Amino acid sequence: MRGFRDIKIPNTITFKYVTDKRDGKTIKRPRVEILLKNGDKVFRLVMLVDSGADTSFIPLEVAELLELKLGEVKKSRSASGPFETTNSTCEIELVKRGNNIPLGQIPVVIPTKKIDDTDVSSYALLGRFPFFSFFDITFRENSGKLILRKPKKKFNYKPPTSSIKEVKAVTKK
Amino acid sequence: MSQEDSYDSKYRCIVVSQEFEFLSVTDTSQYAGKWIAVLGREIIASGDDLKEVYKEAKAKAGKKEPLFMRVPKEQETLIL
Repeated sequence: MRGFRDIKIPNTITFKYVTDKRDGKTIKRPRVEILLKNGDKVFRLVMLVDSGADTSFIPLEVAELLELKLGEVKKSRSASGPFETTNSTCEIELVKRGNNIPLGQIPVVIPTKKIDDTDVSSYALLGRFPFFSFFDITFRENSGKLILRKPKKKFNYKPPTSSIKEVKAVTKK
Repeated sequence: MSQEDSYDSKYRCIVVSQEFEFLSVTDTSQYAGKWIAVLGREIIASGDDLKEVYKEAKAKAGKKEPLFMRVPKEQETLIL
């Protein structure tokens, strides 16, 4: 299994924010392209880089397409309120034209239930652990740029071995 | 390469895939709240159900892997 010290990080990569257009207005958001992998199953997904999220979130449908093993249902909390989640792990690569950057196995949280009108269950978020340990990350809100730099201090990330203690069928409600 | 591009500082080259670059400059508001699948510079499938979108996109893409994104709903403010 790949650990942090095996990952080759380029010095600096700059991603421009992706623009959403709504009613003539533009909203720029920091997104990157991630390749999610589970064995021979792969899924290319646009994910929001979210410094407010402790960990990464992927939609249940994506977890099912990747045939990830799902853990016990737990409660998580967002700014919008509490919601039910399960957990898993999957391998990720930061997609970069020409050569992707493999980041290894990371834990992911999978919302299983909608809360109110906010469909948190459909969001794909790259939270702080461990993505923000792989890079020194700068959000340049005014210029709409996300800058990923090779970290000055190495973080010895140990990929999860098997955090999934119990596998349960999860049905989207 | 312009100041607006995504780039690698060492090689001064654009770093994102064609699909991601396409999404960066495309108005996707007509797909608000839906999943979209992009291949090359084209949205090849869209819909509410990701599994249906995936099935349709894979049928069109053959061996290539499309890029998927869920487009935020109109006037949706992300407070997560």
